[in-house]
Parts: sequence; structure tokens; C-alpha cells
Amino acid sequence: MVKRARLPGALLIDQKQPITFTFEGKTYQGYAGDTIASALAGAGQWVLSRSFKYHRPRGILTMAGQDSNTLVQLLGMPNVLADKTLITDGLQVEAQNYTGSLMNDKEAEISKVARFLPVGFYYRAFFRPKGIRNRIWEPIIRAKAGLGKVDTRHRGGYYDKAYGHYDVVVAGGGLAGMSAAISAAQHGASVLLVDENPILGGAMNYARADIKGKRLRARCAQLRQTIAESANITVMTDTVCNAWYVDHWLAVIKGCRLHKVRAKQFILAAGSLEQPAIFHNNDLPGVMMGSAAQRLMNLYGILPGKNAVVLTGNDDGYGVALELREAGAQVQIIEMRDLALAQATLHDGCVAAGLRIHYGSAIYAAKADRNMHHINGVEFGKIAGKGTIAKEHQQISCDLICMSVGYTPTYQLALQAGGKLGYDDDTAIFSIENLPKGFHLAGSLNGVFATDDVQADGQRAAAQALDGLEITHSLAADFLPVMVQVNHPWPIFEHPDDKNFVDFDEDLMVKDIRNAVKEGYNELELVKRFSTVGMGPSQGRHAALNAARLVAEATDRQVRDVGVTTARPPFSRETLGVMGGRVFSPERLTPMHHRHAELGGHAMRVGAWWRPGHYGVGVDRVAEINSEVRNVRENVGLIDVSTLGGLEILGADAAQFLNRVYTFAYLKQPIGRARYLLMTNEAGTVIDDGVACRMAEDRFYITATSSGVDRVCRQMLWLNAQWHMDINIINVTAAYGGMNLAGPNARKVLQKLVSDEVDISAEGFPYMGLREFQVAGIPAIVFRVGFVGELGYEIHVPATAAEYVWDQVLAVGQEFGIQPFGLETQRVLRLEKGHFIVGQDTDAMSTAEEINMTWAITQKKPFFIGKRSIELRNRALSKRKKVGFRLPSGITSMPQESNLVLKNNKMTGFISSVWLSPTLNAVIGFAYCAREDAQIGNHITIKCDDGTLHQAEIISPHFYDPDNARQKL
Amino acid sequence: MPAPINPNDFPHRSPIYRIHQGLGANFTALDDQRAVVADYGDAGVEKAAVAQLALADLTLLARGGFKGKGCSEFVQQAGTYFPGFNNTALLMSKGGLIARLSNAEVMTVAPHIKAEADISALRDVWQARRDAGDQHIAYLAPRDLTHGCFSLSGEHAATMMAKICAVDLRDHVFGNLDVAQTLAACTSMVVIRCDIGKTLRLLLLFDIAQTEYFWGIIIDAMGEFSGKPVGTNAVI
Repeated sequence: MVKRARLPGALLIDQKQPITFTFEGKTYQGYAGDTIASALAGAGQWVLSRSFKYHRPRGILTMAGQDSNTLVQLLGMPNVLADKTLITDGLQVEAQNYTGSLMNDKEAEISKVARFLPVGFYYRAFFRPKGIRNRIWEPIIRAKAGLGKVDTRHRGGYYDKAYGHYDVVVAGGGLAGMSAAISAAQHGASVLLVDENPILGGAMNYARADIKGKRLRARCAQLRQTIAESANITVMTDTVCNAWYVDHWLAVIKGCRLHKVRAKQFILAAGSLEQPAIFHNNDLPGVMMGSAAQRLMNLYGILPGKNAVVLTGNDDGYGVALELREAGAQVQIIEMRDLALAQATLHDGCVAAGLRIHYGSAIYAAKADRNMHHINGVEFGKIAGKGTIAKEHQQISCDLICMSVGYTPTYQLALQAGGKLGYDDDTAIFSIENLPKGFHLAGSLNGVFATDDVQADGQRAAAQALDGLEITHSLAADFLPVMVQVNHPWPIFEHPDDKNFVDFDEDLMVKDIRNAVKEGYNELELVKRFSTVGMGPSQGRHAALNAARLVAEATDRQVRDVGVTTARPPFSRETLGVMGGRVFSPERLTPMHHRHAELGGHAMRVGAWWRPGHYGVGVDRVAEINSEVRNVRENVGLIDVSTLGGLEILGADAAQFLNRVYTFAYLKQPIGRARYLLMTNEAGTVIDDGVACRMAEDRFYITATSSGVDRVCRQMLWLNAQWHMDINIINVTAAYGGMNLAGPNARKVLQKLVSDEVDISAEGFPYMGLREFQVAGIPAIVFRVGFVGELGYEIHVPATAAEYVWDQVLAVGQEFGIQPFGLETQRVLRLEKGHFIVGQDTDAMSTAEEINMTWAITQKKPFFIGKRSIELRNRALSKRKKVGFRLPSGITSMPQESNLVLKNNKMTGFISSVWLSPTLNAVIGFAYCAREDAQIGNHITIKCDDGTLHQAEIISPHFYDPDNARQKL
Repeated sequence: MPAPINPNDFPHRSPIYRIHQGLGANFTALDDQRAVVADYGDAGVEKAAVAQLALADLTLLARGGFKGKGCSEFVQQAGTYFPGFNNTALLMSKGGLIARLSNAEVMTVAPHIKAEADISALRDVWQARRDAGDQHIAYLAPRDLTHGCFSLSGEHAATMMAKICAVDLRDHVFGNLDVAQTLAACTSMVVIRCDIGKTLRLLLLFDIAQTEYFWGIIIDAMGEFSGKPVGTNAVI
């Protein structure tokens, strides 16, 4: 195990808590607070990955989770950012994208044939000769594509979502963001302060603004303390604001939770992204951003190199140099500017510290060891002109190159909001304009870099936000910041051997961008599509500016004219788990749900409901269903029908309303009677059915199909919003537990549960009658229906008492052979009786005429929904008709629902219901067939799953008890 | 020592009485029809939990509703104030709530056992007038049957609800006796804020058939705040 000393005073690690983990099977030790990358760097392991195309060794570049160099594989999770992911004891980390081993990647040889793999080569390859793509290339491309491996067996963590509402959301917890949050909160605004780092402070935690390096730390501590004491600032660290949507709807991700945040005002203070210089071998381990080196030293206590070269084009590079020097490194500075431009305080500090500074120079090439696992030197020379270095070169032995040549604003969220990025080619300064109302910028993102100005800019943004909130304040609304030029205008230097990378993700070099333009792709968006620049995991964070510079040069334009590529959500990677969150799948349970389980019911999902299909040990499903059928026919059965839709229609116009909505007539329906309901839509298609129970002159209790009731209720509400009839609609589906007591012994059972005064005789309570009385002491609505073709009582009681009543009915029914029966059994029973089920025996085109339900349509009514369409459709009848059919028992191949009805080998219809009837001892069913064949006595051809053809006889669909004698008992 | 009360001995049962039994609940009889959870063992702990985050099942407590023409007139004639705005509620004399859902619909809710008297009194007035032939006093809406009812209380209640509901229910936004008709965890829901003393409390009313589903959702969501189920004794 490799263990090296750390620098003192590191902010994020606790050296008293060692943590052991493995990388590529080798054990390493880090400390609590270490990321994978920092722990490996601390142990001297600098190669973290292999590049996408040429398999070049790659290591730490930003140390900020902003590049793809540090993507690694964890168990079950690919493409994890090693510079953002904390180590834990026992964590197993693997590198990605290599063959053999990380340190000896066999595929690195591909670099030698790079000239045969020019930019966009795949657009011209892989498809000739014809047919080769699928056989040869696709398997190879699939093997090479992607980075890590997805373990489809891996079960993810607990993901969920939460909503948030704030007056002001500040994205970015650096100096500007903290300043803005404090100023807004001090004036009463509720503030959410979001930062992607473990602690607030941003660059104040690692950067240097003064020679002694204490100024920013002290200011940061003071601001943190103020925020901690503020009651109306909510702080989310380790959190990224990943997307902006209209009206400041923000996707804020913290760990496994997506916060869906509404902000009245939004302040983006996300800082800037340091940009790389381009020179030969600028991608190898040991070459990193200056800010990355500062992060390693100040946050994790790691000295990134003992002999360092700082390439700088701005004053920040001197801060980097001072940090390195103080940490014990030997440092030389290659200053791209002339001495006259480098007169800042930090520069003076470096001079005073005796650091050697090479003015007006640039790096020509980084030198590396034989395997290119780490750089070991630098070759540099005087800048002779834009992008060119004089022929006289010097060498420095070094193990670290820090690049401090400029920044781009973290503009992604602003551009998602419609902002326009501007760039002044003369000063190399960015600007962002055209932001929506309530969207404010602060800090370096806003082009403000001087420390005091950044803090003032945060206050200015807060002032704007407070104005938007109409909160009175005394904050300065504007000020004039000091102009600071942080970008060197052209940190790009070519090399005859290339390997001067513009886009590290996609292994794109300077010549690739230039060649893309030569191919005719002279707009950045086109170059992007042809070369894939900016399309890798980093999404152009470190490639966009240099690519724009190269395209501008190649097309003889300014960078401001070339612009940058479109920024779309998300800002950074987000997992499918975060997007999915916790899945809410509402389930509805009937009051007797647990009784069904206790009785051996086999639950089946029906919409949101769970219903028992049948009961029994489950050895022979068909036999158990048929047994329940026989018991209903011979004794008595009880089925839970609580899922049946229930609506109360209340009001003086209730009957008139039903008359308009349903096809039958209800105006003269007597109180105490139930009547069939058939609903059609505007096209005359059957969409629902049920029973209307008239409880009073102005009160109907109606049923609807289990799956259709919510739609029916919505439709009714929508219709009455137009009709303004005097009705009220209440969905009482779940309010009542329903059970259907059916079978020749049904009356005997019910009689035991009602008082003697209640007359439930055939005369006193006839078929389609409706009564309200107590069952087992519980007030109940009871109506006689015959859906299963037997004497039956449908009993509806308050849901809270339904389990009790169910128990009572089963208990008193024992002596009459009562058994519960399930939904599948009910379907067999009603099929035998010849009753159709909406949705099973109808489809999106079924008319009442097709399914032989014209008796349920009243022609005399002036209007009902679908009436006009039915009249039109009746003039030109469809080509099909629903029929009942019968097959002899003993057939070896049983037809299934949805099997086809054929005529001359062409489909004319399909089976909608079929079963081997235990009552009739024959296979019976409903089917749609050609209208001309739909005559009783004709035969239709049915094709089974296995191809067997049956000749089915068309018979009356009223297979059982066609005279309805049994249900009227 | 009296035998423990078994909810199975009463005809009216909460849809989740088995869950309560599984959690070791002690039941108390409201009358000969209903028994509700008194506590789950330690009443003192439950009282304390109410201030932090606590969930109580009030499904069996009285509720009601009136809907249709004459609703506001009836309520006022019955001696109760009709809330001045939609989506607001008022407290009745015994602590019962009357929540205005629309211009012509109210829901009445007993947030604790003693408040049941308010609910039944108003219903009795309605029944008497209806029996007397008065047709212009709206209609009964059986909210005791259509809806399950939970009490969610404590300083973390609004934050917890933010995990499942888009409406901002925080203390300074959603005031006491405010009403929201919304969705939570893909379930239609009426939320009424009805504080217990100075403790924020939300009454959640939802499709009674989803009581078990929603109990599970809230128990899960409460986990990170160490929320606890409590009995009706704790939410008086």
C-alpha cells in the first residue's frame, strides 16, 4: 500500500481518518474527504484513464469534475467522476477504456495510425462495400464505443424528488454567490444557495489574491459565518443546479435527489472554467490547470509536483507559482506576456521569492517518459508571433506543468435561459446579455474578477433581485468594476507532430478542427457535428473557446462572430435514477382486499385496483374457476365488486342529465328501480355501461365500469360545465364496498342478514328492483341485477364496514354452500349468460348495432351524446358483426381471445371472449365476423395460436338461460 | 385489567387497521361501531413526536360534506360561518373544521375525537331540514366514506410533504386553515392546515381506497426525518 505525507492545513480531508480502497485491484489509502483522484494522486498514481480514441494516458486536469479524464468505473456504475467522488472504505474502483491494463493499454498502438483516422473519418468509412457495416464494423464499433460498463443487474440506490420554493436562488457559492445570498437574505428574501463543492467559498478556498495568501481565506470564513447565522438562507453543498427552465424552474440535484425548485429571482454566480493552453502533449498526466494544482494543495494537501513549470497568460499563474513554492516545489514561470503586462502584486511576490520567469515565451512541447505515463520536462521558446514559437528552444526538467492562460464563464445555465454570449476579440473578455427577467449574473461569470469587485457584484445582483421582488433596499444597484484581462488571446501553439489537443474528450487536435473547416464546415455548429468537438462528457467546457478561436482564424472571422455552440440542459451529467426519482404507482385496494388473500384469492391488477381472479391453491386455474362457476349455478357465490364505478347524480335535473349522457330513457324511471346504462361517445361508439339506481326524484346512484368511471366522471363534469344543468356529481366509487351475492340460494342467505320487516321476496323485491335497508345491521343499497345470469343481489355498504358485512354474508351462507368467486369466474358466468364487457368485447369502433345492443337505445329522445353519429352509422352499416359461437367439446386446440376469424384466408374479425363452459360443456364465445356471415346456423373459421383451424357454429349469444328465468327468480 | 380492544370486533374499520395491529397499536372504542388507535405504546413519546414529525390515521373519525345549490346558505343558517374564500377553512365550536372547496361545496372534518360533535350536529340539522321537505340546502357528500384522512404534524411536516407534493406548504406560505386541492404522490388530495396549538399540522384527505398505499408513501417519506406513527390521543 502506497502512503505519502500530505501538506498541512488541507481543507477537505481529515488525516486522522484513513480510508482504504482499491484501484485496478491495487490497495490504496486515502483520508476521509479525499476524492478518488486526490487519494490516488496522494499515493503517486497519476494515470486515471485512457483517452477515447488514441488511448493516451490521462490524469487530473481540472480537479473540479469538469473533464472526462477522471471518469472511472465503480461496481454497478460507470463514468463516475474520480475528482468529485469521495472514497469510502472498501470502495472498488477500476479504470475504463483500455485493453490489457491501464498502465499498459494494448490499444494505445492505435496512436501510431492516427493519420489514417482523420476527423470525420467515420462518415466516410464503415459502409462500403455494401453489407459490410452490419457484419464487420458494427460489432467492432459497439465494442469500442462508450466508456464504462453498465451492469444491468445492479440495483440502484434510493432516488427521489422534492419541490422547493424560494424568493431567490443563487447558483454558485463563491465570493459573488455568498455575497449575493447574504445581501438578499438580509433584506428578508428567502434564499437557496447552491454550490457543487463540499464547502462554500469557491475559489476563495484555494486561489490566492495576495502574496501571503490570507486575504481570501479570512474573507471566506467571515462570509461562511454570516450565512450560517442567517435564518433565511438554505445552503445546499455538493449540489448542482443542472438546468434552467422557463420562469426560473430549476433542476437542482443533490445526491440521489432531484429538487424541483421554483425561484422568483435567479442569480447565477457559478464562476469561470479555467481553459487549457494548446501545445504538444498538453493532455498527458502531469499537465493540469493551475487551479487544479491549487485545489490539490489547499483542499487535499497534495503537492502535485516537485519541479513545476507554470505557463501563465494572466496574473493568476503567479498565485499558483507562489502556492507551489510555499509547498516546497521548485518553480519556473513561463509568462506568455511581456514584462510590461505582468506587473501585478502576485508577480512581484514571485520575483521577491526568486522564481525564474521567462517572459514572452510559451511551451512548445511537453516531454514525457517512454510510456507517456507522466511528463518529465518541457520545451519552450520565445513567442515569435500569433501561435508561433521561435526556433531557439530551451528545456526544463519538470514533473508538473500548470496552465493559467484564461477562463470561460460558466455560461451554460445563462445560455439555456436564452442568454447570448459575447466575446471581445481585442480584450479577450466575455459578456452575457439578453437574459430573461429575473435572471441575474454575478462575479467572474459577469466579467468581474477583482476580489472587492466580485463581492460588490454579488451585492449588485442581489439588489436587482430585490428590485424584482419589490423589496426596498439600500444596496448599490450598479458600480464600475476594475477591468481585468484574464484571457490570453491565443494560447495555441502548433507542433509538427501534432498531439496538441483541443478536445480531450474526443481526442481532437488542432489539425482536426482546421481540417473540418477545410472540408467546408465553416460554422462552429457544423464543425461540432463533423468533428464531434464539444460532444463528449465535458460538453465543450475546455474545448469550446479554443475551437471557436481556430474556426474564427480558419474562416478569417472574429471569435465573437463564430460564437459558441448551443447550451442545452443538463449542465452536467445526471443519472437515470435522478431523472426517474421515486416511482409512485398508486394502488387501490377494496375493503375486502386482505380477506381475499386469506381466502386464497389470486390477485390480478385491474387498472389501479387489485382484484382476486379466482380462489384456490392454484394447481389448476381452469378447474378452480370452473368449480366456482358450478357453485354459483348450483348454490350461491359472493364476489367483491367494490371496484365497480359509483357516481351520485344529485339535483333537480338528474334524470334529464342522464337522458342526455346515456342512450336509454331515465325521465320516467321509477324510484326504487334500477335501469341499464349504455354510454356512447360523440362518434356513436360504445364506451361504458352500468346501472342507474333511482334513489329519489333528484338522486341517482349509478355504476360505471371499474376502469371507466374516472373518465365517465370527468366527461360528465365537462359536459355540465357547458350545459349548466342543476346537478351535482360525486364520485363515490371507493365510498362503498360492493358485493354481488349470486346463485339460486342467494335469497336464503340474504334473508338471514335482514330484519323480518324487509321483504326480499320475488314479488316484494323483483328483478331490477332497488332497496335501501340494513344488511347485518349496516345501512346498504341493494339492487337486483343478473350479470352472471342467476338470482342476484348487489349489496353496497359503507367501505369502512364492507369487510364486516362480507364476513357476515360468508358466515351465514355456509349452510347454503356459499363460496367466494373471482373476477375470472365472473367473466365465464357472464359469457355463459351472453353479457358483453365494455373494453373486452368492444373496441374503439364498436357500435351498439354491431354488438346487438340496439334495445338499449331510445330513438324517441331528441338528443343524447352520440345520437347523431349512430343515425349516420346505421345508414351504412359496418362490415362486421358480433356473434356468439360454439365449438364442440373435445377439441385439442383451444382458441384464445384475440385469435382471428378468417374467411378465404383473410381476417374478417376476432374472438373477444371464449371459454370451455363448465355449464354447457362446450366451447362458447363472442367473436366479430363478416356481417354477411353473422347468421345463426352459419359457420365461421377460427384460427388458433398453433395454426389449427376450427369451424365454429354461430348460435344465439344468450347461451345460458335465454329466457332469463333464473335471474328473475 | 380490561381486555385489549380488537378493531375486528367493530363493524367499521380503518382500511389499514392491520398495519396498526402490526405496529402494536392500542385501540380505543369511539362507540359500538368504531375503534381507533389510541397509541402505539408510549403516549409520551408520541406527544413529543407530534412536534417533530408524526402521522396519525383519522380515517374513522367523522367527516362530511355538502355540495350544491344552497350550500353556503344552509351552513350559515345552521349557525356556522361559511368560509369567506375558496380553499380556506374555519373552526367550529368543538374544533371541527369546515373547509370551503368551491362556491357550493364544503367538507367537514373532525381533526380529533371531540370535534366529531360538530360534524354530526351539522349533518343532523341538514337531515332534519331535508326530512321536513327543504330541497334547497345542497346535498350530502359522504366524505367520511370517499376519503381517508391522516394527520401529519410537526416542524418537518412541510419539508417532508415537499418530497411528494408540489404545493408549497411551508409555515409562512400555507397558513393555518388554508386548504389546497392538489396531488401528492400521484394521488388526488385535499390538504387542510389545522395546527395543534403552535405545532404545524396538515390534514391529508385522499381516496379511501388508497389509504394503505398512501400510508406506505408517507412512512417512507418520513424516514429521513425520523417521523413516527402516533395514535389519536397524541393529536388532540
